[in-house]
Amino acid sequence: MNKQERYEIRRFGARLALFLLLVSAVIGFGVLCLYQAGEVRSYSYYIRPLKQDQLFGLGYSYYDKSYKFHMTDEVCRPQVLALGSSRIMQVRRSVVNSDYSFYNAGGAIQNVQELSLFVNGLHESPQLMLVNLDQWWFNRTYIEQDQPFSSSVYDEPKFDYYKLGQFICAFYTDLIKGKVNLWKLFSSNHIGLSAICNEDGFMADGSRYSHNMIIAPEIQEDYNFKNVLERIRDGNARFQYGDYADSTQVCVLENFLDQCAARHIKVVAFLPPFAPFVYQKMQETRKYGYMSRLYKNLLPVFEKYEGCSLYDFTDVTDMGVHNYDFYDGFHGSEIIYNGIIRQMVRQDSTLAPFFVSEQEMDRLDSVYISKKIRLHSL
Amino acid sequence: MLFNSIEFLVFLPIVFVLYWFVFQKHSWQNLLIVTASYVFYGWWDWRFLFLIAFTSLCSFYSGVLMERFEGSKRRQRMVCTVNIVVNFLILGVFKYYNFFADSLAQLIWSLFHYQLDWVTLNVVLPVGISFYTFQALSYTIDVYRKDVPVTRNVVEFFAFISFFPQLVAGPIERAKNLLPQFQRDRHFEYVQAVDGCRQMLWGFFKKVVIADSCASDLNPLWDSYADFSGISLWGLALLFTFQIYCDFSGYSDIAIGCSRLFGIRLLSNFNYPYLSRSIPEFWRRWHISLMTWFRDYVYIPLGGSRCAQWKAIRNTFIVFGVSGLWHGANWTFVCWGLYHGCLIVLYKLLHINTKDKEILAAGRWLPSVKDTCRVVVTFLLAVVGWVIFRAENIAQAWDFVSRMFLTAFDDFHFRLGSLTTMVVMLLLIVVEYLQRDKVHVLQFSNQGLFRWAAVRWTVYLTLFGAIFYFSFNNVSQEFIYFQF
Repeated sequence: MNKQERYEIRRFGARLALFLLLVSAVIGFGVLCLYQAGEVRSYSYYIRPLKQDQLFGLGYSYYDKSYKFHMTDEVCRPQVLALGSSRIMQVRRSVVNSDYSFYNAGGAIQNVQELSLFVNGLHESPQLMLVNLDQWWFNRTYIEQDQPFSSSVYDEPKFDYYKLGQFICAFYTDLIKGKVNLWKLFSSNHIGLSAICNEDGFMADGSRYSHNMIIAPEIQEDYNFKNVLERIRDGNARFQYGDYADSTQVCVLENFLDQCAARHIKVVAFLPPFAPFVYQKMQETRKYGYMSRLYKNLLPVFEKYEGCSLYDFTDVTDMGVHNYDFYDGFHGSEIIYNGIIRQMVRQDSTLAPFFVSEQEMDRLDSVYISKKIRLHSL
Repeated sequence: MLFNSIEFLVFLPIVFVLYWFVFQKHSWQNLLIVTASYVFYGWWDWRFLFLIAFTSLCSFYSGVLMERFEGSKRRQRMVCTVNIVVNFLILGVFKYYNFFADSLAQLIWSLFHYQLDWVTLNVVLPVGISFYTFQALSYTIDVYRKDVPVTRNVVEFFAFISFFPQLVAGPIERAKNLLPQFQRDRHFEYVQAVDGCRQMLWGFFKKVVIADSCASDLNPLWDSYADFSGISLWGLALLFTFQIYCDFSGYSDIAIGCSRLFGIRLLSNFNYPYLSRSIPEFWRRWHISLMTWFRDYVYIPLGGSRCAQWKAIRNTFIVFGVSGLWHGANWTFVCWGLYHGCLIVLYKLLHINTKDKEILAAGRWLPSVKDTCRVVVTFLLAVVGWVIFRAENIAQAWDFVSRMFLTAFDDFHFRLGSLTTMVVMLLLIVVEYLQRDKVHVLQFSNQGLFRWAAVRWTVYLTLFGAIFYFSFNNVSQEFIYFQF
């Protein structure tokens, strides 16, 4: 290589380096922000106790199931465990007697098989397990279409570079759209962009807090149950029609109760509530026969096990609840769940030691009511 | 190894550094090119390497033998013929055996209701086999015709056949152009390298942003085409028209640009084909390396156009029929080739001017009304051709094309996601028109807005950003022409 060539190749290298520097600066800034936000940390970083005012809510990854499992098993090891789907996430530490440790693993379960998988993986058994049984877990169409079972849901998730590229693109798109506030990002102590920017995520007790839903309900997708009513009309996205409960799922539930009995876990299960308006619309379709029969189908299974009980809160119209106390058509707010627990304790006195007194529940309700939260205009 | 992969992003700089800083003599550089090319090709399936090595050895030794038989035309012809037969046999077995066996079995069944129990071969089609086979054949034929001297250096020859940028999807190089470049010292040229990078950038943009976006919109809808109105079917056809162009010309741009980093100049493969004013002009601008191959080794030896008119027509049909078949083992490709053959014959018979040598509206801002109409007609004829090319079978092609013309032109069916695709397609048309006199779109003149480095760099960074974004948000598609 002669002198001229050496000069030319150096010039080329310098120009290429400048280009790559600019590109790296843009990509690097994205990576830095994602790192600072906690979006691209190693998984072990997430599995630790949160501070009292800290939220965990990743914006670009979905680790909810494995996060809840590892938090339950490795960090909290609770005596009272709330276990189920997102429909139990509103049960707070404040309703549980402070003598007992508590964790809410809501969001970890999306079908009956996962209940067994979750409990089987725990190294320490809780004394009491509060379990929500989503009605659609017993609808064969839902299981086949939406939630095929996978035995690896609680495995430690793997991060790959392709995901990192996607996250960088998503981050800049959100930055341009104004969804990400850089000041908040570098000053907040929450983990994850959803927690930082929307104050939406899991609290230290594992229950979910969503600031945006409370302060701006009218911009939510399911405001006045618009989205859920569409699902009921189309018979999709959890609201698939069905006449009978799937017997296979009932057998799987029985296996789960066997497992709990063997581990001396007291199981208190309930069929979670729908907003009264939504439940009425579902009834009008006459296409959800399996839901009406579900309690009767499941009760004999629970009666086989001492200390296990089942409650039906599918229709909460008689409890005097309001539509505006539901986040959406099938997620009640904390006041709804306080009411559910109150009802259960009234019916089963053996539960009373695990929860706060009725007076304390009233106080918690009054605190909620004083905030004058109206999640819908209905 | 795909150009649009992380592996290639690591592979290319390593080869570049070794090529210019470690292996500085051209003989060592050739050895590096062969090694790198075999790694590049073997990344798909290492067993493919035996095939390309065998093809290369056959053509290399046929050249050596022809030199040895200097003075005996008969022996030389025999060597040349044997090599051509061997190459076509390999191509036939791997690419066409099952196709012809099935076609014959179907024909016999339809005529005599007799089921032929053919043994179909369960073989994987080696990537780019048509490209390197044709390249190897061109060397043998050129040596036989004494158009190129015989090479006695096996490394040089292997580098010529397997040069990684153009190995799997062309341009199909000629020994006359590429082989001498491996026989002399290469010098690093700053201007060439920088322009090569620009060409690669534009190639990646076409592939990742436009072609993959078109594919993402098109693929889910193609099978349910019968549900759509005429205008929507034209929309689908248009998507494939841009997909195949950006996919293939994008690959060629990356290949040519990449080669320039190594001081190698490849033949041009595309020259703004959708700005053509006639179908013959379209074929002078589309896949130039393949069409010149067929012109030199099939069309002209058959008599070309300087013979009786019926013979010229026959020759046209043969060339386009065979070139269709080259694209794949399906009758749709043959039909697509014959469709273009028909159009070219029609142009000739109707004495429509097809002699346009200069690019559209050369030296002017806008084309004349007449030229605009000609471009639009040519483009629409090409669009119909691409439907035949894309169809699964002849029946589907016929049904699709019939519906394009016969069903109502209402209810334009497009998803919102298609808006981005439409914007990038429109962008492509505009920039290609504005830059139509350049080798590639990112060759900026030192006039106007682009004389400012800041503006040019903004363009480069924007293109890179778009490539980055679409790489992670589109489903990455393999280059269409790999299957050929």
